[in-house]
Amino acid sequence: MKNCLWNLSNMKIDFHRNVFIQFCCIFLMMIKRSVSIAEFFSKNKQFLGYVNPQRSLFTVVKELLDNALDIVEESRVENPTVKIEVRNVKNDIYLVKCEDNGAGIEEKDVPYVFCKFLFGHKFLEKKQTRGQQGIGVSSVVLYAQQSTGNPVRVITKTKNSNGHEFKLMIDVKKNEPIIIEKKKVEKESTGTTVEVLVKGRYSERIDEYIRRTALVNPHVTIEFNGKVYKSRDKMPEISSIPVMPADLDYVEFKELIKNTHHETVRSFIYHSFRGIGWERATIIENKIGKREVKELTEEEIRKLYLMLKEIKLRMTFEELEKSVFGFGVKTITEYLKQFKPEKIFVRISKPELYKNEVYLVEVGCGYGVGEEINIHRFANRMPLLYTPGACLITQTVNSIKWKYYKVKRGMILLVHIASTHIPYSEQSKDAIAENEFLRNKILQCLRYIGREIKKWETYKEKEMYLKKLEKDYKELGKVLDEM
Amino acid sequence: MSYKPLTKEDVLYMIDNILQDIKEQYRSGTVTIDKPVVRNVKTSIMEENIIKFTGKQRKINTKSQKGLTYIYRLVQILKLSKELIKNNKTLTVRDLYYISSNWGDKAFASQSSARQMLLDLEVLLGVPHEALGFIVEEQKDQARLVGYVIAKYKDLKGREKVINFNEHDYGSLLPVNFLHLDEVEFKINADFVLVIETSGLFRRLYEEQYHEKRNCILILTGGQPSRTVRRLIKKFSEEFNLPTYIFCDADPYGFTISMVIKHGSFNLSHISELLASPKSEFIGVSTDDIISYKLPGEKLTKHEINKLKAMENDPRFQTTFWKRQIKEMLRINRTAEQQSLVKYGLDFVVKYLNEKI
Repeated sequence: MKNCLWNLSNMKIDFHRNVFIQFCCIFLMMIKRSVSIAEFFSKNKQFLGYVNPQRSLFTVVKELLDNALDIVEESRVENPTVKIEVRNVKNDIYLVKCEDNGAGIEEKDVPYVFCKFLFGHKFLEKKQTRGQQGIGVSSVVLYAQQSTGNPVRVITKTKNSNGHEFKLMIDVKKNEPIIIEKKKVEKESTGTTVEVLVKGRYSERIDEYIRRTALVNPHVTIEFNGKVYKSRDKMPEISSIPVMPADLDYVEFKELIKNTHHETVRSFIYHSFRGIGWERATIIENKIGKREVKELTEEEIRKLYLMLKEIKLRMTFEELEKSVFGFGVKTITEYLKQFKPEKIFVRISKPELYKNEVYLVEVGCGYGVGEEINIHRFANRMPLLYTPGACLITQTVNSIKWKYYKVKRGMILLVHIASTHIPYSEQSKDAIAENEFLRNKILQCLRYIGREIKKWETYKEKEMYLKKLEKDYKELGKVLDEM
Repeated sequence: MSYKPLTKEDVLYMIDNILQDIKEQYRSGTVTIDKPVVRNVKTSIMEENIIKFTGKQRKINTKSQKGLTYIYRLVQILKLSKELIKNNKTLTVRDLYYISSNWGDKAFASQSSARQMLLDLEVLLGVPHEALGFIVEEQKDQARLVGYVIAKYKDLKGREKVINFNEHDYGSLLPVNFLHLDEVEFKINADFVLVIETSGLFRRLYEEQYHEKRNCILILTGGQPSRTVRRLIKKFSEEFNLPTYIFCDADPYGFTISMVIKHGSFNLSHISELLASPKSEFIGVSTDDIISYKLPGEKLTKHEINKLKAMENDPRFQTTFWKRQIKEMLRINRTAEQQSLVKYGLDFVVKYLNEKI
């Protein structure tokens, strides 16, 4: 019971509601026995993307790759490299191996990172990352041990310690790691290697996923089954954005009060949350009453929480720019060039705050390719390859009357949403949920590109017009000469 | 523009001048010519009782597709015209429209655009397009003339021909190549001219021998009078100084015909001086006649009502007489044909006309 509540308190208010509701239903059904989140997911793997053999293998590769990229970017190493190998061992069993040269994982954390759901949820920090809650890699381990019975093999080394090798499994009932083997190994450089044996079926989507990821993350060298995508640029540093009271659950808030070392209410507010100045904290304190934070009654805490929830985060433009890292015009243009379009249009919106999260929308259009509109979706620098129909991006693109913008040929549309919090519609992170703010931002960019296309088409018409005029003038000359 | 009788050589000279000018301009890179504006109510004014074109022009050049097409067509037509004049041949507007299909995408879209082009040429050169070799189509209802008129002219082969309009029953048709009326010699013996709109009444009056009894010329326009008929009426009215009377149906269409003969039309306002006969008079049938004679007729259609309302602003209908006629007609909501005068007897028309004239 205690475990459940502690797990619950680690979820954000806007955690994927469907998961939460499902959990509650199952909880109510099995009211005599408490169910861990691991057990819940083990019975509902479809939420995580393990729907069929192809998609399962794809999800394994995707989760490992995303984690590796996150670590490598956060570590800020010199030549960030990620090597992935997918090898068919026999029948439908595959070996998936992912190696990175990031900062490595601390020896004491390794079992929990890989074999505990919701470990690693960043509590007082919001940053643009691919992984979100600390579910992804644990789900890989769960799927591996359930499909082939094999543990995950992790080899890691941090800067100030030796290399270690682990063989781990998840205790599904308790949501705790089981260390099957642990030993010291020789490892030269820092980094982590993860190896799993899973059941699945190879599909070209995996190639496509890695290829697109490599194209839009040019600051990382990615190697897949021998094929190397070399890095070329350097990644700028991303800063995290401050957590506001509105991001916290009530229970979390109480926990914060319990653990704080500040005495007065206003110093608690001022020091715990960036974005609230001393004067404002004072005003709030006056409304509550000048008391010691730890002596507040339940009702007063609730009142304080509701008041603080209304405060919106404010950031300067420079801070906003540093908190999200999009593709940029250069990367988008390079990506679209491979399709040999007639003309490339790019539109990048300015990073904007909405409900205390930073959002950045980028749209690139390679006009003149094929006959239909081909949408390439991206979220936080990684491609979205499944369930296009349910995705907000697809729906928004299709809601535009392209005829109005004189669109006569097909095009490739690249839509990228970069944010400190992407509203996915499913835990499997394949599609983006309906969101009015994002819809409007995407529409803005699409409409701009539509206008550019219209200008281009009218320009082309004019070119042909001038050529025809020249031709006709010569004909007139012929007629005049004949007399 | 005032009309000067021009010889063939003069016309050819004018055409050559224009073509030379265009050729020189071509070498410089762009060709610019003055295109006359569309002739309609807004660009024509009433002067000396005639609707005249204000002469407003617009410059067009070969920098736009429209301009280039226009100039190309112009040059082609002038080329054709030279051939026609030299070889003494004619082309109708419809022929021109078919010939233009040789010009690729610069062909005329319709016969009316070909006709517009010819009318523009008239303004540019200052001659009626008959002088350039282009003639109007024959009308469905052909124009006839009856009376003591003898016309001498040269036909296509250059032979002299004589028409006696008194010879045959119901007179004779006006020949299609009655082009340059100045080359036709008329010998007339009449007191006045009566212009009639419908063939029914023309037949009636012929059978009553009206032209013999009153010693007049009867001209049947056959609906809207063609250019040739209008020129003829003007000739009789002014050169021979004969009083001219116009006798039409009592409906907006008939009223318009009368005023077109008298003051001219907007379409051809650039050569109104050749076509309008301001000395002519309208004698019937008017709305007053419908009321006083209680003539049978039909109700006004929507189209006719709109036309009457447009006529209220027409400069040709601005006399008190006409204003009253239009107002009354809208009130009684009826029209009447000329032939309805037959109601009171076969020869009632004669009595009616004798009262008026």
